[in-house]
Amino acid sequence: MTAEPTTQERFTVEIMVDPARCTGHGRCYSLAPAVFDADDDGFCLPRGVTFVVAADREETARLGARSCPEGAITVVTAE
Amino acid sequence: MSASAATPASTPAAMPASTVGGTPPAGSCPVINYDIMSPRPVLSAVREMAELREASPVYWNSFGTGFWMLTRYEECREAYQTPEIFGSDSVIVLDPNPGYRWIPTNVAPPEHSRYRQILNRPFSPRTVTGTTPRMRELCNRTIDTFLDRGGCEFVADFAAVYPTRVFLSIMGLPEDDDMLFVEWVDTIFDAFSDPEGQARTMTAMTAMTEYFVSVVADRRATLRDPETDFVSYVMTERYEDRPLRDDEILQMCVVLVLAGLDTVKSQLSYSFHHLATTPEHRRRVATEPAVVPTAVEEFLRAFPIIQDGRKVTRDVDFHGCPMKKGDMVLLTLGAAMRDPRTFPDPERVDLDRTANRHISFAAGPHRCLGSHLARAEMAVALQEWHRRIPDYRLAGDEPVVERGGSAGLVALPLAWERS
Ligand code: HEM
Ligand code: SF4
Repeated sequence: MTAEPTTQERFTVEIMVDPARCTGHGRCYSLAPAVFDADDDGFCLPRGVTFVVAADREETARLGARSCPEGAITVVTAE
Repeated sequence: MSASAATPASTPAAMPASTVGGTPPAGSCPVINYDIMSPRPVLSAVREMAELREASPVYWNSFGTGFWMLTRYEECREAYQTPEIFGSDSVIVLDPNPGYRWIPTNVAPPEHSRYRQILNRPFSPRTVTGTTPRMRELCNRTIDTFLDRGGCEFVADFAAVYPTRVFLSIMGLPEDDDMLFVEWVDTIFDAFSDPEGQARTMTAMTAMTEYFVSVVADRRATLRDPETDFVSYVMTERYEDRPLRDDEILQMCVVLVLAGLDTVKSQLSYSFHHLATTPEHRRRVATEPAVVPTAVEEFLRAFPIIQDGRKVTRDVDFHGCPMKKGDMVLLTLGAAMRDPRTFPDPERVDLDRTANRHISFAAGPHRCLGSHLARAEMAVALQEWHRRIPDYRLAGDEPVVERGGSAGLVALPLAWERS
């Protein structure tokens, strides 16, 4: 990997799943499996930490966020 | 149920709160008398509820013993996500002081989450995915029983039977007991809309409880494989540092039956009514099985079968309405899931709807335990049925009737060409 961190940041989105809100509806990982995963009980992984995915997954991540009945998912585009 | 059918149906809408006997002051909230119990022509309730929603987000409804009604999406979700105010001591607005405390339905956090930690695993998406082949087989065996007749009464012949068989399989109970459960559940839920039905409900509840008493005793004597036998599984799990007691296990079993059978039956009945009366959607489901998952979500959104209840835990002003400790609140999902503030073009049943964040399985901590199972059961039913019976129609001249609160169709006769 030769890309510099500064360059890389511009091409990523930050995602955060609020662990207090996620109740395991499973919409996020069903509709956007490239971004979200499930734990053994059907709750979203990862949650409670900010994680980063490539910017070309932003639309997918946003679909997951808009489909979450709890409003647990925040998607932030890096500056 | 303690529904007092005596409330006059003629109470004028928006009468001053002070003249409604025994009800809390409604503040700025409109007061209505809206019947959530009586059967009526199919899809009447969602239309009536939509009118209420557009006129006000909150009502005091003097029907029965009286309760608040939330009609819009955001307010319903807020109530679901605020269990410390909108408690679950009762979840049936017509029965504010039930003589039972069901696990996990009537349990509050943090105890509630300890029970759910035990219960989530056998109903997780992964476990459910593993049982899908068996689900398909049970679905097809149910269709076999009437396929050649060229018609069926969908509710009794299919929607009541197939989910019961799947449920017994998931629980590790004998499949030959299916008709016992079908009858208990029918009796219990029919009696909800029949004031004379209480005695029959008690008899069925007692018989079902006795059934599970002997299952629990049997598994205490000889534990079975926790992977395939639900009661053995919960017996090996721990609530904090202790094993579960028999009475807790019994309650869980009874709640699963009451929550998991009539619901899928009712949801299937609306879905197939829609398809029987909408040829282009029927054709799509039959020719394009990939549309089924989004179709399932859309049917859940457009036809919410549960109008859920909560009991207020302390005096609170909710969007200008003075709610008092002990008041019941109806989360009117039939109105909220067609709220144009959340869902574009909400009256349209759109099989391709994206970002469908319906809360027909509730939201917050009591999110339906069986939601992943229910979704899979519905998807399998839609796929297998349409593979074998791609075209069908409503049969008979009787109007199709729904139970009060849009809680499922009473009957749905269907017919098709025999091949
Ligand atoms: C389409 C079918 C279904 C619908 C629409 C549905 C809907 C709901 C709703 C709205 C709740 C919240 C109730 C409340 O908190 O007052 C709920 C809870 C529950 N459901 Fe379902 N359900 C369905 C199928 C199932 C199935 C198949 C099962 C299990 C076999 C199941 C088991 C449960 C349980 C145990 C609860 C209580 C959860 C808790 O309080 O933590 N449901 N369901
Ligand atoms: S859709 Fe929302 S509530 Fe459901 S698992 Fe994903 S983050 Fe959690």
